[in-house]
This record gives sequence, C-alpha cells and structure tokens, in this order.
Amino acid sequence: MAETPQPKKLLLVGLVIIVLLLSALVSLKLDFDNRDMLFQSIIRENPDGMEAFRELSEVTPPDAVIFSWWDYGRAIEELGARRAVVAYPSRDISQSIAASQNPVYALEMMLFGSYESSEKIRDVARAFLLSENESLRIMRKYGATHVMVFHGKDDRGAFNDVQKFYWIARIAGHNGSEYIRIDGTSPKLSYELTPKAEQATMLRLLFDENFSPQHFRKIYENAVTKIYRIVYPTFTGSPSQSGSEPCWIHVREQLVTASLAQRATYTLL
Amino acid sequence: MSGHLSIQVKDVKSTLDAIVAYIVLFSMLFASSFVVLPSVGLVEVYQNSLLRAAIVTALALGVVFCYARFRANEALHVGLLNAKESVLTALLGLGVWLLVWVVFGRLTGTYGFVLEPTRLLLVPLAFCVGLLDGLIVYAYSAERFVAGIGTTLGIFLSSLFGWLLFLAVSVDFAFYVLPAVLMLTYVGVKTKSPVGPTVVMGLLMAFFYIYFAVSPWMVGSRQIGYLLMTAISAVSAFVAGLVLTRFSLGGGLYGRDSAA
Repeated sequence: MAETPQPKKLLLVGLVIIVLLLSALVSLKLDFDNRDMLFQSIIRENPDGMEAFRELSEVTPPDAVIFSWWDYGRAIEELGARRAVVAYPSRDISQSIAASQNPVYALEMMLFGSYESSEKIRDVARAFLLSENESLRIMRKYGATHVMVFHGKDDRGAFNDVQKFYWIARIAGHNGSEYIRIDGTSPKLSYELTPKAEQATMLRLLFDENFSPQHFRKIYENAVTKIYRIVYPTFTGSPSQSGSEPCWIHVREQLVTASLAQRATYTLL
Repeated sequence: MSGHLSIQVKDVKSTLDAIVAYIVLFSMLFASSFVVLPSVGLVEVYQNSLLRAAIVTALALGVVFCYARFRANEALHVGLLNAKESVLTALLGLGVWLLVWVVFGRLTGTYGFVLEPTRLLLVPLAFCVGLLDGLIVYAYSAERFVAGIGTTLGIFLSSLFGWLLFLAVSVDFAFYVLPAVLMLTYVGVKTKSPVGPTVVMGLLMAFFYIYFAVSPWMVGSRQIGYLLMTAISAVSAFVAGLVLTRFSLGGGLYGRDSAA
C-alpha cells in the first residue's frame, strides 16, 4: 500500500481533531441544557413550589425586585414574572453547586454557564448574614423591594435555605456553624440555632416566629417559602414601605429577648 | 510527525467514511438542540433527552446507511456470522468489568449503586439509544476507522466518538462508562461482529441511566470520588480485556486470529 503523503495525513489528523472537539462540544451542550432544565422541573413538580411563584406575581407589584439566593432567581423571573436581583452564580462560587462535583458538569458550566459578578453574589450572601440594618443598605443598592426565603422540607433540598446556609455564610466570609449547627447524631437531620443566629437576616426571616423581623413585613407564606416586603427606614427614623403604596408601620420594640438565647432545634426531615 | 508519535494512515477513504458518520450524527444532534421540547416535570426532561438522542441517532444511522451504499456499494457491517461468539465475548467482558468494578467499590466503600426511581420507566428507551449508538459505532465506524488508521487508534477513536452520545444523554455516569465502551469496541473488532458490543452498549445505557454509581465521600472531596471511580473502571476494563484475550469462546481462540 502506498504511503499517504504527509500533507494529506496532517489534513486528516486535523479534521479528526476538529470533528472530535466539535462533537464533544455538542454533547456537552446537550447535557448542559438538560441539566439546566432540571431545577425548573423540580419546581414544576412541587405544587407548593409552583404555588409560591404563582403567588409571587399576585402579592407583589409588577415592578417588584426580588432579593433571594441565586438558585431561585430564574424561577422568580420565569415562573413569577418578577425581576430577581441575582439569577445565576458567580464563577468563583461554582464549587458550591452540588452538580459541580462531577468534573464534566463543572467543565460544562465553565463553557456554557451564565454568571453574575462575584461582587453581586458576595453582596447577596453578606446581606443574608448581616443584621437587618446592614442588610437593608445592600438591598437598597440593588433596588430590592421584596425578599423571598425558602424553608421547604423536600427530599432534594431544592427549597431549603437552611441547608444552603453554610455555603451562603462561607461565600459571605463567615462561619456558618457559628449561627446554626447540624445535629448528625440523630437519624433525622436536625438543626440547632445558636444565639448568634438572631444576627443573620436570613435566619431571622426563615425563623420569624422566633426572631420577629423589624424591617420586613411578611406578605405571603406557604409550605416552602416566605415572601417579605422590605420596609426601608426613612431619615426621620421611621421605616418606610417599599413599593408604590405608601404605608407606615410602628417600629417594634427590640424583641430579642433571653428566650432567643434558648437553642431551638428545628427538625427539618 | 515522526518517531513514536507517527500515525499510520492506511486508507484515507475509510477514515473519511468513519468521520462522515460522526459528522452526520453530531451535526444532527446540534440541529436538534434548537428544538425545545415541552416538559412539565422531571420525567419529561429525562424522556425528552433520551427521545432526542434516539430519534437523531436513528436518522443518522439511516443517512450513514445510504452513504455507505452510495459510496462503497456496501451496507453496514452487521457480522451475523460471528454473532454468537460476539455476544458471549461482550457479555463476558461486561461481566468481568462490572465484577471487578463493583467488588472494588463494595470492599473499599468507595462507591455504591443508587437507584433513580424517576428514570425507571425509561429503561426501554435508554436501551434503544444504546443499541442505535452501538450500531453506528460497532457496525460501521469502528470497522472503517480500523481499516483507515489501524487497530489501536481506530478502536480508540471510534470508542471516543461513540461514547460522546453517553455524554450527550447524561454526564452523571458517562465518564466511568468510557473504559467499558473501549473494551466493547475491542471485542467488536476482534470478533469481527458488532452484534455483541451493540447489545451490551444498550444494556450499559439502560442500566446506568437508572442506577448511578455514587461515592459516599464525593461531597467532601468534590471531584476526586468521580475521577477515582473512572480510574478503577479503566483498571476493570483492562482486567476484562486480559481475561478475554486468555480464554477461548465458542471453540475458537479469542484474539489470536486477528492482527493487532
């Protein structure tokens, strides 16, 4: 058999490499698209989840801007028809996403994923970890009018901000275990709030029955979510309601009492 | 390209035939990515993913069949003559690969199988996708690649292209199935029949689509668990290959009668 000329051989090798690379990209993109639809599908399959996002468009004005962890941003926009402050992760927190433990999916995310800026994601995380007054400054910076937190107990943890709290704290530069501890000794996963929990806005909103948030008025709650209207304080010292309808509420007394120091255990599963 | 890295191109036409098959398959897959199928829940997302792969692979197989007839006046290489030997060899290879892999996982506590109940009803569809992919890989392109660029590179490339469909369906298991796909291509080439590897490819796709191999300590160490599972899968496939080359099946010595 005659030896194939070198240029022809090179051309063939080049062609194989190009086709292989393009084929790999097509496969990765298809898988990425499938996986991208999974979370929205989990929401659609959960009646409480669907109800939460449907109700979002009922209880908030059309120009509302929703402050939530990024996981729910796309559902807020696509199912709730409201603008979310963040809808995607930032590149530097991709390791916090469960699926990224698969190296192929991590690559897919790098190639095809959409990202928010690191500053924005860190700001959102910080807002959830800081005290209410400090959080309001960040929320105002992004024009947020409402906050949505999730306390669902589904098996997949899709609607459970408590499970996500460790990562959110870590991204904010805090140690999550200083606020909440997971009890691994019990067969049922349970969480124990520490006295410091009352300082974190997210935990105050999630466990509002214990902490009574001062600048957030709950306007909706179901089995998976709590929606709050942000009540920004005015320069006169009184809080003002966000949104188009002016409304005044009384500044509540500090409700942080000794009872909060008692460690409440919340069994979630 | 000289010395050890030199690539021996025996037949440009055969190599191009194999490449054309994959260009057809993946360009059709690419085109299909613009078609958004409606999905209400998780089952629909999984179902749509498999359905897309099945329809596109079937269409691509049809195009490849026409191309083969038109270009070389011959159909796909079905190789029914050695079908029995091919099926037994492929099943033995799969059995050894799975045994070594599972035993290692169990003994070391590195990983175990977890059922995804949502995907249970999709087993027949996943099996079909594996079969159709197997037909393209083993009944056409592997033979073309081997004729064009030699056994080793031919097996490697056709496996890699064929495996990409696993990737397109789900990355959850694709990585650690790659060594098994390579081993099956080896069986197909050596037994000169694609029947066994094609059937086993269907079984692989069906099984791993519903059973994930999950490492219990993956979460703590991120990607290491997954990569270790893949490395052990490669060792298992190598052991399976060794077993296949040493045992005779159907009265004939396996692997001795074929040129390396």
